[in-house]
Amino acid sequence: MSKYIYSLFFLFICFSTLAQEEGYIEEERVVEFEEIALEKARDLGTYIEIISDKDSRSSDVSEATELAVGLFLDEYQRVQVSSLHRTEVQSFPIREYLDRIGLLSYRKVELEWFDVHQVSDIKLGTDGKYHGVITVYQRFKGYTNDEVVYEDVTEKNIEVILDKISKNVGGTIVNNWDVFLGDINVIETREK
Amino acid sequence: MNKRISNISGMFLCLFLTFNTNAQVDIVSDYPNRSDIILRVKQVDEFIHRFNFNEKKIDLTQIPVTRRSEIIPLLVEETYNKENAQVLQNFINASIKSPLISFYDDNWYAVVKCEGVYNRKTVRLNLVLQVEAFQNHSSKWVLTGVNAPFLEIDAECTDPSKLISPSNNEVGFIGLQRIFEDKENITAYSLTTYEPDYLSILLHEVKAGRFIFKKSLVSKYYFTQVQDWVFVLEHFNRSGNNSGWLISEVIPVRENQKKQFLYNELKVKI
Repeated sequence: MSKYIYSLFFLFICFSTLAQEEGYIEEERVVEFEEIALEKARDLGTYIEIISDKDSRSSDVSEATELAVGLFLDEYQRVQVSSLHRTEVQSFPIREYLDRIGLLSYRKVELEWFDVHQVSDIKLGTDGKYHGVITVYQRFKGYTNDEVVYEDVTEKNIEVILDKISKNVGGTIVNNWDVFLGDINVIETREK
Repeated sequence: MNKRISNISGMFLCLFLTFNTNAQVDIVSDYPNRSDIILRVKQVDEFIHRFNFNEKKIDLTQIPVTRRSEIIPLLVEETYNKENAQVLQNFINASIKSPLISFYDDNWYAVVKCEGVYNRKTVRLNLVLQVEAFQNHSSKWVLTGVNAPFLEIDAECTDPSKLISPSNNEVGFIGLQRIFEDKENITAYSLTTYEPDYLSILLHEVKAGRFIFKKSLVSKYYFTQVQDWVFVLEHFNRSGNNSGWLISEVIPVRENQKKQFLYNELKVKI
């Protein structure tokens, strides 16, 4: 678990120098923002792997769930899923979503990232945080035994939030920045 | 049912394992529909940049030559036909002559189809939002209107006997008690040109606990920035390069008629 702490510390340092002119964010910082946002999402993937692994101890699952929720701005962030064949849209608060993942069982999964992704403009909200969206594409295969039982291509729009965190360092208040995940919209684009 | 569960579970799991560096995740560039995904309008921001002809392209071989050639593929291909050809040409000409559109403009609107519960019944409504921008360049989406049939109040009453008499002021408007007992015709006692503000009604019902929001379903956008035109942006989730956020409709509306158009179409009062 210590590697995650180092990772978070690294992210913290990265954004500590991110002094911004109010309202606008520099071009090179946008790239940094994008990379760190994806890094956060990968951290989330690690926690999800622990949650969905049937061999994980329940204490590890609980800890991974808490760490995963901590990646989001707060517990009210939601994941919404829409499919090609269902008109029904499903939406869950992040913790409920994670609990549901814990109930799933594929023997193994195969995943491919497509090399195309899109980053929205980064906008300053009236909450003082910067907000953006990353769109990514991925092909997924789920196996039970050696047979693919599910395969699809999905488009995912992930809201990412750059938040200022004030910290007392030796009696001086220092403002640093960190990236959090927000709402996530999953759109199925192709299914086999 | 099993297949349905399987589908849902696949989508759940794939979302997050996508990002897992420890899982066997490959970044691939040789998938068959790569060019379609590049051309797909994936975000509304992306649409705005393409419409303005100032997008930073992922694939430099696909740079359009003119703004006109950038706007044409932003129209959903179903709108192309002989009847529409001149209308579309006029719209594109007006778009090119108009100032560039911006996320921070106050004259474009998101319409979100939603589901809720009103008086313990499931209801559908269209919430309308717009961007509120501030001098420090911060912004937020704000509620600006709602089209909710379950909140409709009949604003017309042709019965001329329904009135507050012109002399009722002389008796201290005692007749108001009688008026408010006439629930059926209550709107007849308002200004002839009265148009209800449905957002205020909805917000009141939320505060009173009679309306509970359940979920957002789909969204679309109305842009009114182009001189004498309104266009509608909708998401088309389909294969091919004419997909994503596309202009589904162009509507000629004179500038001095846009206010009424927005009220009639979206129930937005500006």
